Amino acid sequence: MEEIEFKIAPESKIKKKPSYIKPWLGLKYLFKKPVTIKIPHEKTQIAKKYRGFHTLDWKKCVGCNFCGQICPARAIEMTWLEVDGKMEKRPHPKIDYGRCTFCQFCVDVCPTGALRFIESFILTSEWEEDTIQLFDWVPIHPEKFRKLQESYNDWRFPVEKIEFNKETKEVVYHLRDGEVFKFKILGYGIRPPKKQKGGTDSKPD
Amino acid sequence: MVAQSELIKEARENGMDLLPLDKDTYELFFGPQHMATENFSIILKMDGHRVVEAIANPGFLHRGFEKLAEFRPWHTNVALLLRVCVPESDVPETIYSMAVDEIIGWEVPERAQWIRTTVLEMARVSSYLFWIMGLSFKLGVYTAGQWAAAYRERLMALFEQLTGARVYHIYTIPGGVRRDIPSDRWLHQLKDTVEYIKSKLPDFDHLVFENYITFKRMEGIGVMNKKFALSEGVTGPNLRATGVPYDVRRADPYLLYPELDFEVPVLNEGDALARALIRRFELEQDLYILEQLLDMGPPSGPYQVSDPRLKNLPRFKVPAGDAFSHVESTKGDFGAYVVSDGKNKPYRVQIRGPSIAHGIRVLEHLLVGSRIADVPVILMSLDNCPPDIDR
Amino acid sequence: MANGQEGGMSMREQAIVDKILEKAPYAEGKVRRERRIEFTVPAERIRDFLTLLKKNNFELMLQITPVDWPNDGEIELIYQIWSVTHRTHVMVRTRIPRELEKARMPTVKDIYPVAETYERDAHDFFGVYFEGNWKMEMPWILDDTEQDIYPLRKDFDMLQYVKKKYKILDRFDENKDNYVI
Repeated sequence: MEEIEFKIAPESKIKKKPSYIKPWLGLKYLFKKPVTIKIPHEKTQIAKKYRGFHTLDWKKCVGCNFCGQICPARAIEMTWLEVDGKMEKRPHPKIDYGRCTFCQFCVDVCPTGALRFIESFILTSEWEEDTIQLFDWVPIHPEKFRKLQESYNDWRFPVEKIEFNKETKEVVYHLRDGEVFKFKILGYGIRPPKKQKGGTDSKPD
Repeated sequence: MVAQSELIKEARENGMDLLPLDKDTYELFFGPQHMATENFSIILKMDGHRVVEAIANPGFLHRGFEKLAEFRPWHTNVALLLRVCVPESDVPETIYSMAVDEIIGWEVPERAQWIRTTVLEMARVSSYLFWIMGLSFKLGVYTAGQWAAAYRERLMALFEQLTGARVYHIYTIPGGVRRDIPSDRWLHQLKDTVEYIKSKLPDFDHLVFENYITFKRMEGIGVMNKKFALSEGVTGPNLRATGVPYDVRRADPYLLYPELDFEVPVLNEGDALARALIRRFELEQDLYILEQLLDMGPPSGPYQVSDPRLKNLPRFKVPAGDAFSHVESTKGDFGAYVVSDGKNKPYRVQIRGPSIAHGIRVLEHLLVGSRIADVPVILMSLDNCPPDIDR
Repeated sequence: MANGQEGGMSMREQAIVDKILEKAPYAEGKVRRERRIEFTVPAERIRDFLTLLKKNNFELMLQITPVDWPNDGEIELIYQIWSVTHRTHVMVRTRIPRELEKARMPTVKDIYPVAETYERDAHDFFGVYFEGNWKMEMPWILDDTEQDIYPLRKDFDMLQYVKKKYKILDRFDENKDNYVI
């Protein structure tokens, strides 16, 4: 392997001669179709396994905080949730898309495969307080997300509006198909929140 | 001598927003908004349209990666450090991974090596296309630039399928790569793309590299000689344009490069045109390398080292030690120096971008005496990439 | 450590090391692996040693890497040089005290002109002052307000700095054990 005598290209291969006529050959492209994709009328193909938004199977998530530790942008925060008056046994990751770099290392390290990702990637909002809440969410179930993606097929975020009540810490997801999904944030961190305080141990913003 | 304030007043009255230094010279801030400089600024002292003195003023892209890397687990740093080089983000990924592999003593599986080499070459092709885009915009041959962007799109689509992202792939990690090749169809698509871009190279020649405008604009501009280039740490195509046959892929072979056949272009002129022609030839060679890799076919086997410690990535520890690794990027010799003290985070990471040599002293030297219209051309011929100066 | 291939492969490197050490008895040198060698040199002899390397066809200076070792009270400076002729990468290691007044080195910009840039970089981030480099005081990457804080040193409190600079930090508790900015 040592001392490979490598090939040096002869100068005649590298050098070019200036020409006054050849630049005009580019004109032949006038009669060809443009390569541009006309976005509202044409659809772009998104690759399978494109690294887009997260999905979370709440039943499988064991709240190990591996995702929170590996996240290079510190976008993941473990959150204690209450659904229908019952507290989830383990904390679940809450993902801040203002910070997320979509590296999906969190998905790689997830030991149970609860945290996954989906190809959808479009999330836009106007600069209003209540729309910004969209960027900070606990992901929904993969099947639900995929169903919404397949029915709309436009790679958009599945939630239209997230209501967050700062006093009661209640979160309401208004999904795109009109479904409403409610839960309550009890607290943040790996350790369970103290019951009496009602989860005011950490500031939400 | 006229007072400076009067000169400024006079300039303002004539609708000029510049800073006269004395009667003949004025100061001009070139960048960081100027498209040619790519978030980098040069303070030019001008006499008419000639540059008398140039002072490079970096720092607009400083994001403190080297410090931030000391706070993150080993693998996660890939997602951070690749932002050092925007057009070919696989280069920082690979050098960091290679350095970490060397510290651990991992022997990367053959399949992973094949994928890494292919990804690096794809990145080189896409980076050269990006550079053709920049160069043709600066020369005023906008059509070729649009073509280059369109062809680069094909490579981005392939990257999207392979890695799951278009620009920042976050794909090469210590110990291998993150995903396997999606399917045989991907290999066929890559082959088609290589052939497609190859068939389009004559068009670029016609419009850019054989265009008399290119020769008028670039010949004899920004000349540096061999001795100067070596002492200033110039690497890559810029060094080869001065007559030094130095290519990291040959001088310090890594991955599969010892098995691949390609020619290293060397010219002796050392001007902007020579640098451009070297890059043009290397684009062709990279396509040829990709063809060879595809003919070789990916070896079977795992695409990552198997190590039980990899199950617990956040607490993955690397034994104490240090390593330097470097690869040939389209801009030059891109190196990483990594120090570990046995913890789950690096002790020190330093990225050595080629532009830290090209963009400061060499640029300051080459710009003196050139016309203001040539400043973007010289910048582009050096392929200066400010993120790796600022890091 | 590097999986050094002792034996036939590194003979060439060993010959280079021997040749250099013969002329520079004050240095220590070893072969790390194929195409990687390193020397350890006392800080006051660095100029002599780099002049010697330059004479022996080590042409390209790739980088000057400072590494802070607060436990030893030292900053390690690693001059990384590539030889196009020998196809070998050489690291020249030297250590200087890390106190700001004592962290001084003679410049090597007359031997390797490109070192001027690297020295400015090392000064900005580590506070190593290179005597004889007149660009030392020129602004480099950091802003005026960030001068003299030397952010890449290990004792730089990044969390405190970010808090001071950006006022609102973020929504996380500070007492988390694995805090990352």
